[in-house]
Amino acid sequence: MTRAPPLAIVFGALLLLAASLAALTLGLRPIAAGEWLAILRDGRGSEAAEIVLGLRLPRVLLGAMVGSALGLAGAVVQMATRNPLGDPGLLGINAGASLALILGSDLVGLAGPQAATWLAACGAAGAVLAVQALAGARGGADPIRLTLAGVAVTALCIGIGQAIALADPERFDLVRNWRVGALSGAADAVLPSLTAAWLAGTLLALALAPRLDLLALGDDRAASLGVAVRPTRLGSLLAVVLLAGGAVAAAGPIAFIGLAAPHIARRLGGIGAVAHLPLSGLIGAALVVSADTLGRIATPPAEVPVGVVAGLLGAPILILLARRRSAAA
Amino acid sequence: MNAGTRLRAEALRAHHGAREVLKGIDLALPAGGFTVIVGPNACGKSTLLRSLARLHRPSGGTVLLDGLSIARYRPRDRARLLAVLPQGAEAPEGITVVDLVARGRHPHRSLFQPWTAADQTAVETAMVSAGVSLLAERRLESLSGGQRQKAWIAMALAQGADILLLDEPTTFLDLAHQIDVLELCVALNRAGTTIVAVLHDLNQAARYASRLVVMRAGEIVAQGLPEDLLTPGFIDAIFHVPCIVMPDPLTGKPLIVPKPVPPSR
Repeated sequence: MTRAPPLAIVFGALLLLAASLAALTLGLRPIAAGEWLAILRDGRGSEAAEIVLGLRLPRVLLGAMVGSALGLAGAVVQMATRNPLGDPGLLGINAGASLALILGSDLVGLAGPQAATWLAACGAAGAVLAVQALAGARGGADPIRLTLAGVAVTALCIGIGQAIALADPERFDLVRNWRVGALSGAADAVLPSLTAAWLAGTLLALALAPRLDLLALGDDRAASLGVAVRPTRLGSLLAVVLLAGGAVAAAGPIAFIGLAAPHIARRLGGIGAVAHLPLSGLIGAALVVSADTLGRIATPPAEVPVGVVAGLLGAPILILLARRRSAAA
Repeated sequence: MNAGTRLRAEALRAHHGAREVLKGIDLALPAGGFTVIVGPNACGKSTLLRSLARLHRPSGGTVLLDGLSIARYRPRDRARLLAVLPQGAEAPEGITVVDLVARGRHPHRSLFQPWTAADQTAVETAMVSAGVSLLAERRLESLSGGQRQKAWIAMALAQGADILLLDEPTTFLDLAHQIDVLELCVALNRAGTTIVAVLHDLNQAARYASRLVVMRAGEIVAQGLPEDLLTPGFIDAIFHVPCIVMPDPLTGKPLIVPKPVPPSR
């Protein structure tokens, strides 16, 4: 609050820049340094320029937006619930969004991919409400109850989704991408609605940052400092629903980014929300763009979906964090 | 300081679920006083303090802050007049003392407003008053319990409020730190802050309070000067502890010495 460390933010931005450059350069058809110069000089026209600007750049933009949304949403969840293991996925938000997409896939077929973002956001909101109701009215006062409720809602959503998908193989194919989490299936068409949700969620989260800093001190202390606790927590959840819902609609539920990005950001940039939230977003974006690049170049010509790569990378991080915490306790 | 009453409860009632915890409290807290609320466990003293600070929503009656119902203040405006240290400190891992104290400025700041010289001065003054200036850059978790409690008090001071409510500020502290924190409260009180504290230790209450409020089962049973209230008969009646009371050789305040009680009572 007093002295936000802009250095960490610059570092996060550089990290994202490096990840994006790697994503634009690497792939089945690597771009050589000379070709880069040609693209920068002549713009579109060449084959390399088409690959970089036409194919890879939209995907990098999508990945950065999805990743920053997940990283930011994770940081907000962790601060608003005072649960260091908070993550949109662990709270059932991703699974709720997926289920809404599975249930409403006919609707998406009719109304077009624009509807997917809003449908997913509604599913995420439904999951949040269900988790809140199961955990008790106080809204995240007890991290353990909240986590248990999240696990239960996630299991329920996945169960229903699988039952529907098994009964209807065509739908199964349609929603496979969403459930795994991939950037390849997402059309340019979802970008406008994703951008709208992303902007609204990001602005709301950043506006709430000073209050989130006080919520971290406990509900009573926050209230004694003039924070309206319940509206702040509801606003945080709305931001999470917009961010995570938009991300899931565009790319499916990508696990662990929401958990890992804020933890990495905390190591880099201290604990004030004004710096922590944007840094978590930048780290999340860099993670998703990197994971997607890895998935593209790992087993050519096939692609490993970004959700799978994120899971493979994120699981060890989660185990490491859990071990550190238990060692410290 | 201005004479009279800054904070007042009228017919205040409060519930925890179905249980009535406060059964119609009438209480006027003198401006510039050091009021200590005591009573047996579960007598409602913490709930009274929390209700006075609007951390607990009462089920009946009113709390008046400077003559106006506390429910009608905007949370921010209330926070500039009245600071409260509730029980149960939680702080994010790695936070430094100065960062914690700076968060006390929240009620004076608006969204995206840069940190001002006034904010900085208030934070530094608060740390000096609470005696934690030298610890400014230390991490909170690296401090002793007493130093930590003083950092929390500094944060409340940075709020700029001149009414300070403290809920059992000495619990979990060793004796030296208990005295340290209470002496800090006395110093703040002398400098003009109105103090209201819930304390467990009767002897400390007797020593530091300018006014004692004794509660039992959701009601105020007595209030006044410690030396007038704390008689052996009264203490036995409220706390069920037979004792003798003698003047504290240092302060002349009542000193309570419990008598041994046979275990099979």
